[in-house]
This record gives sequence, C-alpha cells and structure tokens, in this order.
Amino acid sequence: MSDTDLNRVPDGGTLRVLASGLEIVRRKKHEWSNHLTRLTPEELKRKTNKVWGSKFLAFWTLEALVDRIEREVTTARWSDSAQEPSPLDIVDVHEIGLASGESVHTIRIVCDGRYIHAYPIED
Amino acid sequence: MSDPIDLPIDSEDRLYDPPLVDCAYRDPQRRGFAITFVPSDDVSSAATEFVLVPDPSPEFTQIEALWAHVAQLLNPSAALDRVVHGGGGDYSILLTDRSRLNLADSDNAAEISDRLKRIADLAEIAFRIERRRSRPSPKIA
Repeated sequence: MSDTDLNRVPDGGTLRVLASGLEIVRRKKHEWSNHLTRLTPEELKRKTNKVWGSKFLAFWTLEALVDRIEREVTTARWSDSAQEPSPLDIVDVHEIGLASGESVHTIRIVCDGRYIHAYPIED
Repeated sequence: MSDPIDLPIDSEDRLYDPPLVDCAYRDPQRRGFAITFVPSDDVSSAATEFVLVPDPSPEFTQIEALWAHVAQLLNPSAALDRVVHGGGGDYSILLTDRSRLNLADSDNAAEISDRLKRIADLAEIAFRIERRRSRPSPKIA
C-alpha cells in the first residue's frame, strides 16, 4: 500500500500483515500533528506524555514506519507464537520523536501476541 | 426550573489518570484478554505494559462483564474486536465487521470511559500478580 492508502487506515487498523502472521497496526496517538508546533513547552510536555502518547517527528510517514518495523521484527525473528516477544528498542543516530517534551532517538516496538506497533521512548 | 445547560463533553472531560487501556481484545487462541495498558507510575516507568488476563481468573470474569457492558452501551452493528486508545480520553472501537466507532460519538461516552478505566485497573492488578509470581522467591537462610 502507498502512503496515501495507509493514511486511510483507521486508528488501530491493520497497516500490514507480515509473513509471520503478525499485524502492524496504526496508532494515531503517536503520529505527528502540526498543532504541536503551536504549543507552549509545558503543553508540549503534556501532549507527548504517556497519557497522550509520545510522537514521531513529521518525516516518519506511515510507509517509512511500517517498513522500518517490518525490517526490525523480521531480523529479530518475531513470530505469531503463543508467547508475546519482548519489546525491541532501536536507537537511531537521528532524533526520531518527542517523549514528554524531550527530543528522543529511541523507537520501542511492542507486540501483544497478534498486533505490533511502535512509539518513541525517552533515551 | 431553568433549562439544563448542554455542556459539550470532550476528551479532556473523560480523562483519567493511569492505568489506562492502550489496546485490548479477547484472544480465544490464548484463552484470555490481551491487554496493553498505560501503567501507573508506581507500577512501572514504561509507557505501556502488557498482560494476558487468563481464563479462568477473577480478573478475567470481571473484565468479561465490563466488556459486555461496553458492547451493550455502544449497541454496535457487530461484535467488539478491539479497543484502541487514541490519546487522552479518546478511544476507537474496532468491530469484527471491520467498521469502527469513535468513543466521542457515543451518547454513552462517559459510562464507556468508566468501564474502560475499570478494565485498565483490573489489567494492572493482573499484571502485578503475574510479576510477583515470576519473581524468584527470597531464599531463607
């Protein structure tokens, strides 16, 4: 699917089904929104905390994010087994997002046994 | 008596402190509720934690009843597939017929938020129990 098509997937909907059977799902609460640029530092800290969701920077299109997640979990050999895999923390050389108002470099990929998603975490 | 004031209810009004449901669904293969939740600070510093609430367990029975109540309040066109947190007090409810509901669009948003909060509380209790079990017992000298 192109990025245009991926943007039509609803929040929580499946972006890609992997060969392993696991599904990468969309989580809008971690996506960039331009209104974040208009917030005060205090508001930005709150709107990127764990209740509102840390945010990927704008250059992370859904297609780029899905490709990266697929690459990482394939390398880690995640599968649709009875035991959910431990989270993967990927440290990038570049800033990838905001968590509690701070610029961060680490992507956490989590799986609950069937669904996979990712979000920025504090370094 | 004056007319009631029709105050808008937005996601800020439905905002609870953690624990909060991040994603929840019933998993028949693993016989339980698979629940990712935003934990309380005193339980975990992580952004989310995961617990499979097994059937049978006291927490499973209570979550099953709350899940059924959420479905009843939503009166959806199909069975609930999963509930996904949209940030703050927002939730999306995905149905087995691939349609989707927004909590904000429901007339019963406040009641449903309350049930989801109770599901998160139970998930966190189950998580604490599981974590205590998986820790090695202290050695007696």
